[in-house]
Amino acid sequence: MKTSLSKQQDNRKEIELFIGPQHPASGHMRFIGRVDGDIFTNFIPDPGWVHRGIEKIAENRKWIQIIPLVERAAILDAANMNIGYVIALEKLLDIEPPPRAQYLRTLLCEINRITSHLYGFGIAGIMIGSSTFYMWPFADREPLIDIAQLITGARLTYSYMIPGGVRRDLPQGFKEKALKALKYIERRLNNDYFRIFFDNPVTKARYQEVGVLKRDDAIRLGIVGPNLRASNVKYDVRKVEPYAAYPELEFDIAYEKEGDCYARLLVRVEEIRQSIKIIRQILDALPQGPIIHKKYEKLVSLRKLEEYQKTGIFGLPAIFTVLRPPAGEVISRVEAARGELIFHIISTGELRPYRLRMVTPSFRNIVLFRELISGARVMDFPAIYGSIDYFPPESDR
Amino acid sequence: MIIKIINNFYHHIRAILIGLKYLLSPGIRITLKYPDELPILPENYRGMLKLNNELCISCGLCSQICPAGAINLKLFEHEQTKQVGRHPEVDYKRCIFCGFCIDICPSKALELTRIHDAAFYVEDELYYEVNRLIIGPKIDPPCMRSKYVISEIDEVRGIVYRNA
Amino acid sequence: MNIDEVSRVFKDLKSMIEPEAQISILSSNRLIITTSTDKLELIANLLKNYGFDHVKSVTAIDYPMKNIIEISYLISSFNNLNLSKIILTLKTLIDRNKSISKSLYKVWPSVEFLERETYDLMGVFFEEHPENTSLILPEDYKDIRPLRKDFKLIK
Ligand code: SF4
Ligand code: SF4
Repeated sequence: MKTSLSKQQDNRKEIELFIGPQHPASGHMRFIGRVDGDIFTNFIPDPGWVHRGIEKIAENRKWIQIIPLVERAAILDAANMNIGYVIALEKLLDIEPPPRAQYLRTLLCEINRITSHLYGFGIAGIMIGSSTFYMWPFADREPLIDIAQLITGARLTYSYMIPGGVRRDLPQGFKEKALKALKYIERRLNNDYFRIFFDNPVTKARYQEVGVLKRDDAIRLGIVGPNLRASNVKYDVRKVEPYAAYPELEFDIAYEKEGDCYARLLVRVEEIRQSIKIIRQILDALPQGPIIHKKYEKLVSLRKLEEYQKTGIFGLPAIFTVLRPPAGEVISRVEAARGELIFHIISTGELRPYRLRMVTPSFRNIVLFRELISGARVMDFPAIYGSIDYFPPESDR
Repeated sequence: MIIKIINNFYHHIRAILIGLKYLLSPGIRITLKYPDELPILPENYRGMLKLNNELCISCGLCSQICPAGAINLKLFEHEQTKQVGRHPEVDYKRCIFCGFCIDICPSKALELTRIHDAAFYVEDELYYEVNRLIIGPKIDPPCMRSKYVISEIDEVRGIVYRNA
Repeated sequence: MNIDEVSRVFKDLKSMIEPEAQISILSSNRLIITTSTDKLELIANLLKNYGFDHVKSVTAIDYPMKNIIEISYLISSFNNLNLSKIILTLKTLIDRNKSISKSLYKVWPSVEFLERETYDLMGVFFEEHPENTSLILPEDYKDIRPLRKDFKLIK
């Protein structure tokens, strides 16, 4: 928290403008700006209003119980939070999930990436006053959430990936439904969204050449995700350090050169297209086989094994309640929807992790508020905020 | 300059037309009119729990794995069968519907119901003791005219709801 | 990235930083450099010139039994796609009672919020950091910092 409230008002021309903390856009967050005319001379982001202390709580939970916990950092990006943690845990346990599980994980992550970007579009839309473009992407998440629900049994909090594999196989008739949903979203994105929002002269006037982030600045400040790629840095963890099924899938890194708000928007559009491409490949090339590591398959009760062979729902083996990964240190990184997600975990061979460090993409992007909005006009603030796709609960953890 | 104006005008018109198209075309609603319409959820939906006390072997794994600490074990004697065992009780104030307890239960004593509307008139009703857990959740339809619908994914309209 | 590449970087770094710091391999693509607090900035500058251009995480780990706090900077590169395949951990140990370290803000501006959070939640004071104020906790927070091991959660 910044104490500029109590500071003496040295310059009479400037006034202090408070935005938030009651949910100014995508979550609870406060901004303190100094305004001269309608130009921000200084702008300070003040996060921490939805801090839940995930890192501390994790030290008091069993390894397996942390899976639902880390998902709560960004509920709309649960699968990507989930996979980051599970990959770290698997490195400690030294197990590798079977190929089918890898593909299913990737499938869910990409569905989640699309829904998360659509959410970001909706927020960006309402922030510059387009209430139509608030409703459309939010509604269009629904078919994708529905197919994610078919796989996992929950709409948002999937808890789908467990060490060694995934919890459920695809249900019957999944492929047709998924293809229909993809077709729908593709048409909406390429036609309707462009007409009503991306090609709309109002959007362009608000977004183009606003909030420009230069390449060097983006690197210097350690920005991640679509915001980084919009500044012409081709860094994507899925390519740099491929995990899950990404090494076998074909896709391109979405990037733009300009670095302004509009470029950030277009990068997300292109990422959705790439995700659709990835999901189609997965549905075509899904390998047959088990969805869980052999070691754990042998450990479940007979009754559960029967159910697994019949319905594809894998029960958890009892050993998960007393999971003790060997002592060690592990760092995992994955590309979540908003950027790179880091888990740094220290294990001492106990029932619970000694220390779990989670650095979310939004937290690393927070500095953008100060860098981009200082010097901008007051009415550029919503445009820039919307284009950063910042999500306070994810940042606060 | 003039080209830009014409171009802008064209794109404005296009935006307005597409907006009008969706405003005027009938039946493009994607939301569910809850509670008038209640969804029939897919088979493996992770809803509230139901206990089969005859299968439960009182192993306690469900309470050990629960990430939210929602399950307590309680000594219980069934009224008719006089079967005694330590069975789980669920506190829906804490439960996050992760389904870990169901998946770890070795004897399949806990099972899924597809009911997710954990809404009650009295706070205490959120605590499911063993005998209520055996009966399982029973939620009355929230209003008189509630009817069940099935959602289907559609290429053109996203989701359509069909009467069940 | 193949093993040769990592071992080449490893050799380069080894010749560059020794004897001020020690380098070891954690796993493939993960290297660890350990150094003392007063050499930290020197090493950081060397690494920056080598091509590591941003910090991914600042992790502070509390060891009350040994009376130390371990601070790790996870460093990598955006510019150099070969280096970006490596995550390098720059480690230093500080005294737990004093809890003072040197800020690397001058070397990598990307540590700004990460160090502020560490100050806030772990109580490590970073000298020369432009803003050592609390980020998440209230300004007048006086208690034990929440990520310390002696801060207990009540159930
Ligand atoms: S569903 Fe999850 S939170 Fe709820 S009782 Fe079962 S294990 Fe606990
Ligand atoms: S419900 Fe299942 S897991 Fe829980 S005590 Fe009974 S048998 Fe064990």
